[in-house]
Amino acid sequence: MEAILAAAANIFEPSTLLVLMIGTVVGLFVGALPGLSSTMGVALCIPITFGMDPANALVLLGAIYTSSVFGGSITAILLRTPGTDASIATTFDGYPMAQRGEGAQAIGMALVASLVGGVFSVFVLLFVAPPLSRLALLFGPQEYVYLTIFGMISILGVSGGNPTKAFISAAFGLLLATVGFDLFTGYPRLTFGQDELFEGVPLLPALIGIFSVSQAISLCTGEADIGAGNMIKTKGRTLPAWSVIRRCGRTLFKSSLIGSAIGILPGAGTSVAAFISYDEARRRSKTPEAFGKGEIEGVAAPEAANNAVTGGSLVPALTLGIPGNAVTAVFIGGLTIHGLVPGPRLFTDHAEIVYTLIFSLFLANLAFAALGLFAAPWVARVVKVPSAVLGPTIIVFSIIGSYALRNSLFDVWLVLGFGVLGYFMERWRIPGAPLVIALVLGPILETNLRRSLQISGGDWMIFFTSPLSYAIMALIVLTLAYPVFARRQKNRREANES
Amino acid sequence: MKRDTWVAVAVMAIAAFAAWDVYDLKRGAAFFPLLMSAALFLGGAVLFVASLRRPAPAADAAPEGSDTEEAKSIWVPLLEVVVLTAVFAVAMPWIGFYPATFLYLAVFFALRSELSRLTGLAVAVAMTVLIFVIFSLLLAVPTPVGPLAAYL
Amino acid sequence: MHLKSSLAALAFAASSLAIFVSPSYAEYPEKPVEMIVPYGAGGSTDVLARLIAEYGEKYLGQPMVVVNRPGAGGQIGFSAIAAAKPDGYTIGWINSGILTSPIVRPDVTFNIDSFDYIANIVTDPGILAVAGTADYATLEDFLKAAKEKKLTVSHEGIGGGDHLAVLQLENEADVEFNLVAFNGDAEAKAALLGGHIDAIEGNVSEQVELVEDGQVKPLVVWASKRNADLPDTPTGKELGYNILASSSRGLGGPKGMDEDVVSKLREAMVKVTEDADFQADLKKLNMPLDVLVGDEYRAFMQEQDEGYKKLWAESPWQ
Repeated sequence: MEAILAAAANIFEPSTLLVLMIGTVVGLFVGALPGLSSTMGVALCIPITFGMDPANALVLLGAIYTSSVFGGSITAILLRTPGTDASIATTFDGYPMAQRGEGAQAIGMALVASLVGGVFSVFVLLFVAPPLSRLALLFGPQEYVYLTIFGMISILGVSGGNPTKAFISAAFGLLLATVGFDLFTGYPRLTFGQDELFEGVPLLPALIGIFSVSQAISLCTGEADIGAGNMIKTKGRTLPAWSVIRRCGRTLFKSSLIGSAIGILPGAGTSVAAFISYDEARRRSKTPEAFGKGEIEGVAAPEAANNAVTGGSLVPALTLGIPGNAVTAVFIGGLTIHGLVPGPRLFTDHAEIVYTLIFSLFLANLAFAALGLFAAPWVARVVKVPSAVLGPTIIVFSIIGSYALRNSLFDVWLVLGFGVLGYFMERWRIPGAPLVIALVLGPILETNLRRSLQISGGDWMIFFTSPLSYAIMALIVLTLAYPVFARRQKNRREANES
Repeated sequence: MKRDTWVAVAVMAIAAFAAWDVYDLKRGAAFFPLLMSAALFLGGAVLFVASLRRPAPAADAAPEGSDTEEAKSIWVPLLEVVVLTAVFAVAMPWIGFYPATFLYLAVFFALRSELSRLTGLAVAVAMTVLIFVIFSLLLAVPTPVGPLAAYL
Repeated sequence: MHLKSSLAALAFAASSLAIFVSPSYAEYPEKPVEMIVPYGAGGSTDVLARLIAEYGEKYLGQPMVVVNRPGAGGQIGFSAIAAAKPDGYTIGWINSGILTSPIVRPDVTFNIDSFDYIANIVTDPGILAVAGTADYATLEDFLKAAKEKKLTVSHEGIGGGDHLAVLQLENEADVEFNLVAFNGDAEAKAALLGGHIDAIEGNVSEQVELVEDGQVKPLVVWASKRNADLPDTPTGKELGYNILASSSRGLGGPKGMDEDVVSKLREAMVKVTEDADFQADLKKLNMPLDVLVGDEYRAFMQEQDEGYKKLWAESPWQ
């Protein structure tokens, strides 16, 4: 309790608040620019924290982390160019809204949802971190296999009306995911002698290529003219009306829960949480057909989920020293520099600093919400910039961002290659999202599947042994069966009425 | 043949090629890629059959006009964009990232936008400076400098 | 007169040419020194590199710029260091990967002789550990149990230092483990604590915190002397196993750097490692300082190289 009070006093120091604001602004930029990931934003700022006191350093890193996740949504909505994989799902309904001239409203919803998800996960971190991290350990390799399969099901939800093509896209993504050095045998696979492919197809160039560069090419050729013909409603309110928020209440809550839960599991990933939440919202909606065409609930779901991951992923990181994802892995590096070794004793030995971090995450959520609210109507005007200016600028950003990840020219060509691929996939109506989700989930699926079999000595029965496996299996079956069930019930109700 | 038929053939070819490439690896390593190639091939086959069975014009051309005509009108600007960008990527390591960015944007605006020559140049300069401020000053990301810039 | 002035001009030209041809090393370093990190930003080598960069500027007199060149398990970065111009303005981080990669992949463009060795900074010994709740108290207990029932041991990928250490243990103790690969220590630790595997082969610094908390029990440290953080844990040699495993991180440059330049870099690194603040920072990071300069560093790498070549000849791991 004393620690909590001391932390509250820490956080309202003027210098801390200043650091918080700086971190929030940097995070928004990092998230919004294609090619700069949350991971990179945090990594680049670690040297800056060398000279700071530990509390401020954590506040800076925490603020960058939370606000970069939101920052990616802004460009995802307005330009259909997600800055990180966390906001791919946001493009599905956010971009159609922006095309209708409701960009500011979509950002407003994203903002509310991010705030709800972020704050929810901070509370999770604050109150139930240690017991939850114990629970996460129960997930063995076989449970991860089921979990990734569950994530894959969400691909069905983004099939864009052509399941065959979505399947092809996903299968291609899974095939690409096998490229590189095989962890279990040491053989390079499908690398065609390219050393740069030894560690697999890097996710970010693929993602930026398929989403950002392909969209930029369409802008350049004049096909996708976002602003044309649309009077941007600058008058419209940014914040969604209370009734809209109420309508999305269930979705917001459920997505926050999903996001926090997935965040806690090491290695599961932010985009997975966003996709599962989006799919869940669509399935439970009274008007599932409106999803993908600019349904505001379709913005709320992934946004609440991806920000809820932030607090969740810090649970195992802080309590066990086991990072939930790449960003928190870097985050741990930043912590240790300040003598805060994550692990079971962090909460007892350095309680004051841990609570300062948690409060700062809370404040960072408020800070990006305030900044976003102020900036949204202005930022939304970016769609008024002529496409022929926007297009090449996005390409330049994508190129330098991809280059900077590994200082590799190979990745520049990779991003351009994926850009052209994404462009043609778009024209041939093959959805790009399944490919990218598969690229994220593929390695998790393969390593855990083979790891399970290594542990069991090749016995496939390992997948039918633990109650937890059965629980996730049941969840998969329920999710798959739900649409059939719902349709039958609807038919029955209609039969009764007539 | 219809577009989807071509796509299906390409997909099956990629799947077959990948399977051929990994086939002689140790079983454990080859298992997953082979499985995925099979899945991809299957997807291609289903699409192939579906594209043949559907009545010719209705399916492909339905909502957004005939694809072949559309494709022709888009071919020239697409090639322009791709070639210009490829030249940019080739030039970048030689003349440095920022000069290349400026030239790319300036040429692009001159060729493809409705901006006047002077406005185009001004916007190109402004964008290059903006990118420099964000990437080099604020984030200190290393960018390709190039032997040319090294002399300066 | 005429002749005299032309001679003077010639002399001047010659002298200025000389300046061009042989850069005056007395002035090294006159521009920032690039430090290649063959791994991604935020990893442990990267964190160490950024710490060295922070202190290095003070003692070298020029900023040290960290450039991440990850890929192919470090091979891309190692190749870049080996192929750099040996002018002292490009150096980088090397580890046992420069030894094992050429063994497995004869086509890589570097080997132990491609580098000038500046200084080793950190050596993190290997460790075999089990969960705190496990029944085995010693390595002998563990090996006895392993002979009755195949036990599962994690490592971090085929051909890595920890994988090779377990292979050596299998050979020397005549047991066979069920070896399972993990991507890094985080996933392996989660699996150990969750009871999904029996033991973990990793590095001391990654385990210390959990050991102190009683969640992980160390069985053996693969070092020549006991570890300061784990004074009660025996070394492999004490238990009769001639196995040395560690993950070391040091600085090297391309072969052929001028002797003056190398000694300046060595001097600066020694001063950094003697800095009390640097030592304190390193301690916080749980990175054990192990300074080996020049030939000492080279000999250390050579000894490991011989061990790996022997293991490869006896039981190739790939």
